[in-house]
Amino acid sequence: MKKRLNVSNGVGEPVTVPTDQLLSHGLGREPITVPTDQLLKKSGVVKDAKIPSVADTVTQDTTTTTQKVEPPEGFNKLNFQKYLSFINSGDVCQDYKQPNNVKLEDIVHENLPISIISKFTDPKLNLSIEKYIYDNMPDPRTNELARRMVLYKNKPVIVMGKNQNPFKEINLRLAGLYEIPIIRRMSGGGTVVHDLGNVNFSFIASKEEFHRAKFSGLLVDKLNELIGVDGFAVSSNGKVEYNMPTFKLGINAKGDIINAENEKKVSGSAYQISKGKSLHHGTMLLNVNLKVLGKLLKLSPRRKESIICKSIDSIPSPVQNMGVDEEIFKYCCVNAFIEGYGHQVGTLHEDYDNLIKLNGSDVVKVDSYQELPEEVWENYKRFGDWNWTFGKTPKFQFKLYDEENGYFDVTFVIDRGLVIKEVIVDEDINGYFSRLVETVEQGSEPVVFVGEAVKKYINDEEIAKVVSWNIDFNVNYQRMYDGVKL
Amino acid sequence: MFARSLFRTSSSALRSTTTRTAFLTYKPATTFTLRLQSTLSANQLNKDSTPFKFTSGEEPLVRYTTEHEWVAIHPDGTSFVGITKYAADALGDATYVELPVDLIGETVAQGDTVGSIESVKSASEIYSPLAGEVTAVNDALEENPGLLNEDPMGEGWIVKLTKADGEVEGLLNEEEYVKLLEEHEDE
Repeated sequence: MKKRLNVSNGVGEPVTVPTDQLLSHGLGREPITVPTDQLLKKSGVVKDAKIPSVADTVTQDTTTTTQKVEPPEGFNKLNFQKYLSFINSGDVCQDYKQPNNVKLEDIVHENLPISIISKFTDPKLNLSIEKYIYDNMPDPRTNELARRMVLYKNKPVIVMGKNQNPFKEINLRLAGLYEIPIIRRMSGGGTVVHDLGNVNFSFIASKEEFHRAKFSGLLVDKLNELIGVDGFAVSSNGKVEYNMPTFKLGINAKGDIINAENEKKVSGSAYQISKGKSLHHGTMLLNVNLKVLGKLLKLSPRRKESIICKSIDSIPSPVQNMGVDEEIFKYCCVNAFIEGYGHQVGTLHEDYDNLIKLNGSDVVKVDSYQELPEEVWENYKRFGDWNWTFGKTPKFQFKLYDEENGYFDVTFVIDRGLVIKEVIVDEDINGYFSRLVETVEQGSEPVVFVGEAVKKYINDEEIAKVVSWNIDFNVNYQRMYDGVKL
Repeated sequence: MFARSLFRTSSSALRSTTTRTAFLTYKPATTFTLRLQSTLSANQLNKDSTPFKFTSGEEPLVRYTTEHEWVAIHPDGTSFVGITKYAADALGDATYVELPVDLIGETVAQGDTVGSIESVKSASEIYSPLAGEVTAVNDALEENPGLLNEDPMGEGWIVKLTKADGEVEGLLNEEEYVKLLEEHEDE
């Protein structure tokens, strides 16, 4: 067994070389020979240079250090390379040549399985594109080949389930402070935080085919096949290393993808069923800042107790990043989709710059604002509307009491539209809430459950500040929802 | 078929009912007819519930949709809408029912969305089997979404509406609905 030490390769990156090579350099014998591919390692730590186990040294000696495990046949290395050059083409534009693209509106009605990859990172836009694709896919009961795979990444955003309460699920203080937008989605389930280290995949099929873990199963198989495959072996020139899966994935009872060993979630799911169709929403944690992610959904125990609501609860679970490269993951999604649903069933006839055929199935790239249909922008308005995200909050009660002095103890009853329907006063020694109670009772002007709005009806300036802060920590809705007036 | 994977659960449940029926009646009958009967009774309106007893002394007309909703139409046009036992079983435990509160007093067309049900992270829309004016929603579901699984074809009704005048087309009677379920199972 050879000991290895870290030395510099001259460009500031440590490279691991065997001790004898290091010593030989110092002694003026053979020069250090570091393979060029090692110099290109992103991490700077050579993965395959791990110290071989005793068993390895007996049977294989040091040959293990140079052995490259090729990807399995099902991965289709050539297709991966084709996919890579396709997905990256156009990132550096040739200014004299406009790409000849197929528009989304020209393909959404096709009775074919199609993978659509959005290169946008605006969460509202991606959700709008996904909704557009879902709504316009032909009825799969009469269009038996129609299925979609939609892939996208979002800039930091908090995405709530359809029937959730943002006051109960989200750390509004931190979301407001970091200006992280909050969006309510169309599918059920709990709240998730996205950033660019997370990839979203949506599998759209018929309602009849709805299954919580079918697509996840196909995907897990594809990813598990790649464990131990050399990260250099999949690149076209063998000089760029891709981060490959390092641990085995499984699926838990709820249909979520987990690390098979420690059972931590790497992916979350949510579903939507309507108009004969079904959608499986999945997130995949590749490289997310998990510390921030957790904080954005953390509420104080007191805050949690102050809200009584029958809405859907988010269930916090231990999570972990998968650590694979985005290219590998997205390609596996497309591959799993094609293998399961799209293999050689038919494609569009014409050729376009934003469309390739992999295994006889169409993969389309969406990356031009100008080419998006009007309906996408209508959806965009909805996802960016306070009346949708906050206004659709299920009925709830909010309890506010003065712990310190016992001056007041009130409960707000909040109806749909986030309008205060009733204020139940258990204690209000100084009459701080009298004007609010009166206004709500009269019903002449609706009072919305927004700190700034409620504040105006409180009879004491200091108490008004306390009430406002406790409602929403003075979150700036105007910045979050494009100048909404509340 | 509502959901292939989930169907297995409900069809095995049907089979167990079948066995029990066969044991109790001692009737030599084919599995098919027995299964038909059990499916039929499972998807019948609960005779002790509000949607059934709304008009005293007169039974409502019960119809089904291919989307697995039922509607109980009373002589005065008052109609209750809900989802079938089959659909409730296929969805699993309801955790939230989104009632169409905004639609009260509004007119809906046949096939319009009248709320949704969330169960195990999935949101499923409900469609109105009839055109008419929404007059009420079942507030009890807000407090207790489980009612939808306990008594889907009774106290778990979702929307009450006044049927618009005119013939209703495209709805199934009990026999046709059960046949639809049988066909799904055979697929």
